[in-house]
Amino acid sequence: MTQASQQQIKQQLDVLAKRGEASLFAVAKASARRNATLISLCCFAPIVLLGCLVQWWQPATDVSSSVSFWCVLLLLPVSVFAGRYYLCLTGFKPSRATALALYDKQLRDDDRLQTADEFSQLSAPSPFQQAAMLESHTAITQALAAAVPQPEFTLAPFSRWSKAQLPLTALLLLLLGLQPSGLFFANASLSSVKQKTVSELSGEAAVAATPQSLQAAEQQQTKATRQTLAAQTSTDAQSSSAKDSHSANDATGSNVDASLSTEKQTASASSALSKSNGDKSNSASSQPSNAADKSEPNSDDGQDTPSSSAPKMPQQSMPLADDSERHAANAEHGAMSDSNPQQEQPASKPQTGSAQAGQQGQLAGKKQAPKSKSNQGQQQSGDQANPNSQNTGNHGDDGLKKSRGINSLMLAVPMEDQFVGTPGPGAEKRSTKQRQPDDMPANTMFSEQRGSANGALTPLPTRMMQPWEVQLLSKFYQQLHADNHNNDKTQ
Amino acid sequence: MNIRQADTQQQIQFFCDNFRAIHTEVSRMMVGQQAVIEGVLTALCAGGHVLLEGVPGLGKTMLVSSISRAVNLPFSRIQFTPDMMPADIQGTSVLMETESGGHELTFQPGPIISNLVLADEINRATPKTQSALLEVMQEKQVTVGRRTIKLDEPFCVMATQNPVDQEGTYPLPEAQLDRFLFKLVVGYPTEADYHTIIDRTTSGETIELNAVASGDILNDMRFIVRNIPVTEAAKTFAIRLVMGTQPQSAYAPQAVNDCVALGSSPRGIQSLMLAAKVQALLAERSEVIEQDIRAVATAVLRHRLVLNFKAQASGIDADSLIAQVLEGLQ
Repeated sequence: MTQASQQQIKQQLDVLAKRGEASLFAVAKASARRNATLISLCCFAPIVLLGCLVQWWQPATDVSSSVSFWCVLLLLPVSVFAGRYYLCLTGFKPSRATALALYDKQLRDDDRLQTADEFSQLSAPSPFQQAAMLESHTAITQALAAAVPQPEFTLAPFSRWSKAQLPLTALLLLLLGLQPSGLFFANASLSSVKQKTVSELSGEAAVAATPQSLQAAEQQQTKATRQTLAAQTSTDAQSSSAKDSHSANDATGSNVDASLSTEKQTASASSALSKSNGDKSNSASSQPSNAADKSEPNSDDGQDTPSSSAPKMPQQSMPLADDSERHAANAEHGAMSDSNPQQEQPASKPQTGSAQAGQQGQLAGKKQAPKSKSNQGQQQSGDQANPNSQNTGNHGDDGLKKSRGINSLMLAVPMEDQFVGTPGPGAEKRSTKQRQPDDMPANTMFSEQRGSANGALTPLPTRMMQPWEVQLLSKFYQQLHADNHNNDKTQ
Repeated sequence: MNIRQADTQQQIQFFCDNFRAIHTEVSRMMVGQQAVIEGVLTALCAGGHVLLEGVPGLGKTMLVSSISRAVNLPFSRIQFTPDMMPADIQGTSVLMETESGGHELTFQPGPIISNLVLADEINRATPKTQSALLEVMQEKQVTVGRRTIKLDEPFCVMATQNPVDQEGTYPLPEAQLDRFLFKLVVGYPTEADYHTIIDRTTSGETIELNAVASGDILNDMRFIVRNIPVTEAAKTFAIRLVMGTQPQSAYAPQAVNDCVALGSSPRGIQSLMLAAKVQALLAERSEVIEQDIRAVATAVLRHRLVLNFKAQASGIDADSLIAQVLEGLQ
C-alpha cells in the first residue's frame, strides 16, 4: 500500500467524518431544544404558583414592584430554557469515530470505516493493518455515495442537575422575594419605614450614632491613660505600690506570680512604647471627653479585655476604657480596687461557675501563661497600660478564662478552663515498715468437742453432671490447656 | 514457501484453508457438533486449552482423538481417577538396572509430555493431581524434582468432565479453570445426526482419518493469529466486557452484582482477544472487530465466572449473565 493511497483514504474519511459530525450536531440541537422546552415548561407552572403564593403572603405595595416581580418571575423559565440548551450542547462533542460509526451502521460493513480511520493514523502500519485499510476502500466508496445517515438518539432528558433545577428555582425565588430587604419588597420595606414616626427615627439615629462617638472617646481615653501610666512606671514609687497590689492579689487567690514575671519581662517594652506614643496621646489626654462618662454603663459587661489592638470595634473598645479607668484608679489608690474587684465587675457575676471550677480555671491559667507565646504577647499589650494589672488573660476573679481578640467579639457561652487528668503525676513512692504482728484473740477448740461425723463413712456418691455442667467443665479445661499452650509458646 | 513471509491475503487464505481442512476431516468422524469442533480448533489455533463438558456418550473423547489424528500430532490420554497421583501425570524417576549390573534413577516421562493431551474426566482426580496440570498448562513445561522439561509446540490440553455424575468428583479450582481458553458444552445431537451416527457406527464401515495438517502448520497458523491487529474500539469493547463480569465494576449490570462472586481475570481478556482473532481470520478479515468478540465471549468467559449461592439457588447460569453483559454493552 502506497503512501498516496493511504493519504487518499484519510482524506475521504475526513469528508465522511465531517458529514457525520454535522448530522450528529443537527440531531443533538433538536434534542436539546426539546429537552430545554420540556424542562422550562415544567418549571413554569410551579413558578407561577409560587409567585402567586408570595404575592398573597407579602403583597407588593405599588404597581412597579408587582410588575418587576412578575417580569423576573417569568424570565426564570426562559433562563432555564437557555441554560439547559447551552448545557446540553456544551456536553455534546461527537468524536470522529462516532461520526464514522454512523456510516458503518448504515452500510453494515463490519466497522470497516472506523478501522480504516484508526489504522490510517498510524505512521507505520503493519501488513495486516494495511490490508484492513485496503479492504475498507469499497466501504468508503459506498459511504461517499450514500446519503448522510440520520442518527436516532436523544440527549438525556433529566440529568442529575436538572432534577435539582426546580427546587433551586423555588429556593432562589424565596430568597429573592421573601427577604425584607429583597429585590421585590425593597420598596415595600422602605414605605414601611416611612410610616414610622419622626421621633422613632431620631431615636434610632441617636442609638446608631452612639457606638461611633463612644469609640472615638474611648480611643482618646485609652491614650491618655497610657501616657499617665507610662510616666508612673518610670518612678520608684510605682514598685512599692505594685508590691502592695500584688500582695493584695495573693490574698484573693489570683495569679500574681505569672503577671509579675510578665510585667518584669515587658516593662522595658511597655515604657518604650509609651514614650513613642507620648506625643500623640498628650493632646488627647488634655481633653478628657464626656463620652467616656457616657460609656460607663456600657462598660460593665464584665469583659476585662486587655488587648489594645483593633480599637475600631466598639464592643472591644468599651472594655478597654473600663480597664484604663480601673488601672488609673489602681495607680492612685493602691490596691483598693483589686482587693474588691467584684464591686467593679457586677456583670461578671452571673458568668461565674462554681468556686472549684473557678480555681481550676485559675490553675490552668497559671500553667498556661509561661508556655503560651501568644498569651505573653497579649499580656504585654495589657501591661503597657498598667504593670499592676492582672490582665494576663489567664485568671480572673470569676475563675473564667478571659477572652481576647476576635473571641471577645463573638457571642458565646463562656467556657471554664478544665483539667483533664494530671500529666506526669511523678514517681510513686512506696515505703515498707517492719511491724510486729499483733496478737489476735482465737477460740481454742478441742477435738473432742467437734463430735462424731454423721452418715456412713463410705465414698461420697458421685452425682451425675448436667450437660451444661459438662460443657462448662470441658470449656474450662480447654481454655486452661490453651492458655498453658500459649504460655509455653511465648516462653 | 515460507508462509510467515507471505502476503497478508495469502496468510489469511492459508489459515482458512487449513482450518477448514481439519474441520472437514474431523467432521467425517464426529457427527454433528459443528460448533464444538470449531471451538476446539479455534482454541488449538489460538494456543489455548479446551474444557469439554457434557454427559457421557456424546463423543467428547472421540472428538479429541480425531483431531489428533487429523493434525498428525503425538497424542496421549490420561484417564483421571481419584487414586491418581501427580507423578502419574508428570512422570517420575524410576530405579533402573544398568548394563554394568548397577542401578540408577532414570526419569520416565509421564503422559503429559506430548503435543495433544486428553485429560478424560479431569474432575475425578483429587485437587493435588489436578494441580499437576497448572504449570504445564500455563508455562508449557513440566518440573519434576530438579528437572524442568520444555514441551514442544503446539501443546494443547483437552479436558472433559461430566456435569451430572458429580458424586466423588472434585470441582476444578478457579486457578485451573482460568487456564482453559474455552469451556465448550457438548449437547445432544439432532435427529438427523442420530441417523448418521447409527449408520456410521453400527455398520461394518470403518472410517480412517487422514492427517491433513501437522505441527508446523499449526504453529504457522498460530503465528498468523498473533499478527492480526485489533482496533481500539474492539479493545475497548473487550475490556468493558471483561469488566462487566466483575461485580461492582462500572460496566457490571445489576444481575452480575447480585449473582457473581468472582468475575473474569485479565487472563480472560487475553483469551478473548486470541479467540476473536481466530474468528476474524475465519471471516477472512484482517482485523478484529466487536462482532468477533461477541462470537467467542460466552465460551471464553462462562467458566471464569464464579457464581454465588443466590445464583445457584435461582438457577441462573453464567451464560445468561454474560448475555446480559453483552446486551448492556450495545
